[in-house]
Amino acid sequence: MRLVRTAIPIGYMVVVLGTALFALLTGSRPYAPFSVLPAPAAITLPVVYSTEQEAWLNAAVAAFEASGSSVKGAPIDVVLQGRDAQAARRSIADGSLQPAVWIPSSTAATELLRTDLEARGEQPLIATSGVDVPRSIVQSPIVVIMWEDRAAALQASGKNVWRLLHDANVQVEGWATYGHPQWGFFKWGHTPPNAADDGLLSQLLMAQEVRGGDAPLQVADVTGEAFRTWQRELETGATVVAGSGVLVNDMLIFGPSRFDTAVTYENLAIQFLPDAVRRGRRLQILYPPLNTMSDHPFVVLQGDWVSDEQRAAARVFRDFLLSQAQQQRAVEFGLRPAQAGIALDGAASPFMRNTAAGVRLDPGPLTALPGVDVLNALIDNGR
Amino acid sequence: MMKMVRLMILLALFLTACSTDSITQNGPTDIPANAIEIPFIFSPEKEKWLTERFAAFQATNPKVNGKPIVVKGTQMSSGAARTEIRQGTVKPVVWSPSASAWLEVLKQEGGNQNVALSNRPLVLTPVVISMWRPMAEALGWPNKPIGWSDLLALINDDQGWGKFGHPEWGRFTWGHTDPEISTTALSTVLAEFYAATKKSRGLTVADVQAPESQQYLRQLGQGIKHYGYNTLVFSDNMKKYGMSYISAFPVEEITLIEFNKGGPATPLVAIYPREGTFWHDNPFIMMADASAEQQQAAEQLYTFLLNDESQKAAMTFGFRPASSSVAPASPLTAEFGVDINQPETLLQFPPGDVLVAAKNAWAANRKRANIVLVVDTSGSMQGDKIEQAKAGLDLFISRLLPEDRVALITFSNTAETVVPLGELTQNRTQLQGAVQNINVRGKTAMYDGLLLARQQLEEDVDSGDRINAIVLLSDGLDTAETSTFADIQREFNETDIAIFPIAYGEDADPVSLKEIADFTHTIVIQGSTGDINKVFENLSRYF
Repeated sequence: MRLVRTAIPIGYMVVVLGTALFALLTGSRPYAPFSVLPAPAAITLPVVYSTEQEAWLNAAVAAFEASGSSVKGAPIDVVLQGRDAQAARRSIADGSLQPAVWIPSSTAATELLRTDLEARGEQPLIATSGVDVPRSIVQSPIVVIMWEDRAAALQASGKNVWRLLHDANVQVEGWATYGHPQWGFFKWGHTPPNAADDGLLSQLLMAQEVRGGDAPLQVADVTGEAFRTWQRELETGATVVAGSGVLVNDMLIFGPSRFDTAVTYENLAIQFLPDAVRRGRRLQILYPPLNTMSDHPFVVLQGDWVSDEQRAAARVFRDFLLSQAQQQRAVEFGLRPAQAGIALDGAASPFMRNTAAGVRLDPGPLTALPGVDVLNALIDNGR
Repeated sequence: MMKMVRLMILLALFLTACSTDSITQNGPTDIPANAIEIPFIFSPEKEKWLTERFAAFQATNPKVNGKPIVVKGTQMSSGAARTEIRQGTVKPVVWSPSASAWLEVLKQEGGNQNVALSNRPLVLTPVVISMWRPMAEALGWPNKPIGWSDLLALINDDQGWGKFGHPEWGRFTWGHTDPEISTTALSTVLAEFYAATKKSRGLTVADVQAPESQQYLRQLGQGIKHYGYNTLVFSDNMKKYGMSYISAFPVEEITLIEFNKGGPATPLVAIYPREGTFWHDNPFIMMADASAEQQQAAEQLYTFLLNDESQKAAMTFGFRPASSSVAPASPLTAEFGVDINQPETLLQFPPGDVLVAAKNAWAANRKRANIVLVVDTSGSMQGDKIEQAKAGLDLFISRLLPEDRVALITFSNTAETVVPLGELTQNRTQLQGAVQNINVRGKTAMYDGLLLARQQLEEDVDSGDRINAIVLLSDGLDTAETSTFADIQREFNETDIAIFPIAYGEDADPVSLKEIADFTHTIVIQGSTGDINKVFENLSRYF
């Protein structure tokens, strides 16, 4: 013990004096020794999130760090890593990705992970009870974004957006059928269903359209010839882009020459509307007749690589994201709040500012997620 | 106490070292031992932008896991880079060819679909047909969409530009680079095949190999003045010779902007073919061999190159930004011949097997040539000079198509037809033997050699079926004085024969060779014993 008591002051003095000498030599600000006691080491909190939340999460993490949130005096260092939900799900399942927190786009991803692990008899990583049960932190439905002139040309038929996309894809003459030969063939973009939730959920909604009705889908609905034919026809003009944010960025930078339309999250569509205007073009947002809400579950992974301190830090971070201020901030980024009492229709709300672009407060009727077997069948279809 | 002071000094030195270990902007000699190196191969048109941006990136002292990141940029044409990557002679962490097409070619030719980890655009530029503004206006630009089919109709029309009220412009002519190395040429060839099939997507190997498609390609080829190593050859000559050189040539939009920035007497305008075109997306390709730390470092670099400052810097060079937060601005304007709302539609990018088939089909169907090799065999060529020239000539002949017709003329005191013009299927061996048997002596009857070559080309002159060209290799002045430059002007006037003079050696007479080049709207190519092989290899891409 004596040794420890002696060693600490000498070591401390070495560091302090050394740093003071360094400051002297390099001309940096004078150091004030003995005025600060050693702070507890920061808790690193690795967070993997699906990329459509990026803008909001970056802002929220900056606010979180500025708030001085801590666990037993230890500051929390949130390290964000963007990864499409289904791609992250596979990496977490095989152990190559080990974050403390995972925020995929949708419960579809967490359900697939849970059943994957169950089937393999492996350790469950998602809590089913207690304080770490996944909680939705923000929400966003699926939408179709389309250049305004293209939307005007297609919508004359009055059909719903999935039918519009399908009809346009199967026209051998492309846009000439609609009186615009100069636009070439019909081109649309989506993310891969086996990597990104918006790719998977849009396939789900299309299968629902082909099957009809709003009852939950069955495996036969997505493996049957009717839907497979629909998919094949729809894919003739499709470009698959990895990354939800990348897809919308690509749509803007290449313009309608590459993408007449794309399927994405409502919040990404809203975020990119001003960029489109700055580029001299306008986008229209179209809502499917039946939608599903990406609920962005906050998952504190129950892996043995996550320490107790990280779990505690994760809860602090989750509560911060669910605070009124951060939920309100999410609305500014086009996300729908998960907490009650947050207004979407405030004066500064992008939902109100962009009604002319088709943004709706009410996304329309919603369907529940089907069983994991259906989700897996949709993923297999997309391979 | 002394021990403590020494310890403090050591600590101070250590801390000082830590603060400077990431200084990398001073060049490769300053690379710290623990640096994470990012070998980055990029296509030439991005050189100015990337060189400046790499320096700016290094100035931020970027690190991964405390280790400094060092970017080592190398400029290399896209086609050449794909060959070297395939052969393993270069191993970049990041590769940025002009277009993603090259990654597909690499995958196809190398039989490895997993050669890259990711592929995202850095900056953009569409492929356009650049045309002199008055000519474009005569075709109805900017109100009427113009496409490949309009150009083909013009090529096939005996009236040429006369059909549009301008007989003084002669026939429609254009330039074409080599798809084996030029991204623009590769995109152009694909566009030609799409136009041939009247498709805008779903081009197949069968489409490419269909006789009708290949016939379409050959017909378009009738208007080609000559091929070229890269688009720079054509833009330089267009600057120099104006509208009399060629009517149009396909380029990247940035090349057109660069041309118009120079304030030419007659500007070029971009025609975005109504059948559709291709984007060159200048991808940031992370190669599969990259280590985890290199991947993290490359990600930092990618983020830096996509930030607003980097993207705005790229725009000053004429690139379109790849970040949606940067709005297009000057020089992406009509002032520089650009329509920012174009292209309206694209041609679908075909898979790798179609790319390779198209490249091969082009090689088999490119316009055939009549080429007369006029070689200086005067006394001053003796020794290593003539031996190296023989090797270069041999390489040149080996790279020509079997259906090309080639003749060999030598000149010293007099000019002599050593091998008359004939198809290489018939005379390749004879030519190669004759080249090896060349002896040197006497004076330099260069003009006599050219006049003799003119006679060889008599049959096909101005038929438009073939490129008619003379490759003149000489190291000096015409000293025989049996004919003059005035004779050359008279005999070659108003023919379509292009003379490509190679000024061989330091004592070559640049004045008389430049006179000849200017007269036939070509360029003088400098060559020496050290590089004559490369000169002949590059020149072979003109035919």
